[in-house]
Amino acid sequence: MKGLDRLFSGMRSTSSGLSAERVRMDVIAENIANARTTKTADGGPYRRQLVKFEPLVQRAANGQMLTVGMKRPEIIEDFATPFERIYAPNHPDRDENGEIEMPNVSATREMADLVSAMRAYEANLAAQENFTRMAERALQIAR
Amino acid sequence: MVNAISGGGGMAREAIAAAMRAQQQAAQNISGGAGAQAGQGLGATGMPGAAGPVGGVGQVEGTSFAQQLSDGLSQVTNQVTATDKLPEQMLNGEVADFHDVAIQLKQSDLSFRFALQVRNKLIDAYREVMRMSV
Repeated sequence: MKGLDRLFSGMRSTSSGLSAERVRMDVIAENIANARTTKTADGGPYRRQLVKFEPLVQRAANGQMLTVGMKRPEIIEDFATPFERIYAPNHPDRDENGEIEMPNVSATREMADLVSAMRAYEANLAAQENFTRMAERALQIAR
Repeated sequence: MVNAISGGGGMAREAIAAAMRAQQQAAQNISGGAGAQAGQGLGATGMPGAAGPVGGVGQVEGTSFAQQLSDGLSQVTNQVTATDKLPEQMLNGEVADFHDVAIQLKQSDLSFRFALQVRNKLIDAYREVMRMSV
């Protein structure tokens, strides 16, 4: 990292944060959209997706490890929450007991996650704005 | 909008680069002349390289001021060029996020204004020196 890159490192960190939160929002949207999908290509009902956040670490010139934002988040599947079984004798995907497995997506939880993702996105935006304002104020010294 | 910015940015960039080169040339002339005057007590030609070893803005240990200036400028140019490519990238679907566009615009705006300030300061200093009564 050198020159202008160094100047804008804060901006790039928040940029990666913004991207990560956007991925999270996309995943939540996917979950909500598929909240009632009972049959996927794999056979079973839709499985809720989650994002895994990890920091992006770079080795500096002096060998020191530096965190420079976030990696593009990995999308994983939620195996911890079980599928819900409901009785639906007319459903085409029913089993011999007339029951179907519903996706392990809870709309309430997804909405709560969405709010939290939105807030995190806003926090990153606020950091971004402050960085810009700081740079602009510093430029005024030279006026 | 982005096209308009990039078009104007391209021209302004050239103008700034030219101004910086002229400024650098002038600064070297002046520092050469001043060094020669201080060393020999004579009004030398003041051309760079003509007056032998002179102490001035151009002769700094390590990377010279001119080199640093040109490095900085090329970085600013890179920023602005990256912004120039944005419309194309957006149309090709290579830009995934809204904020990437906004941040790139802001970055090139900031670095461009920074370069502008440096140029203004250099020109101010040059004018100040030119106004000096000998």
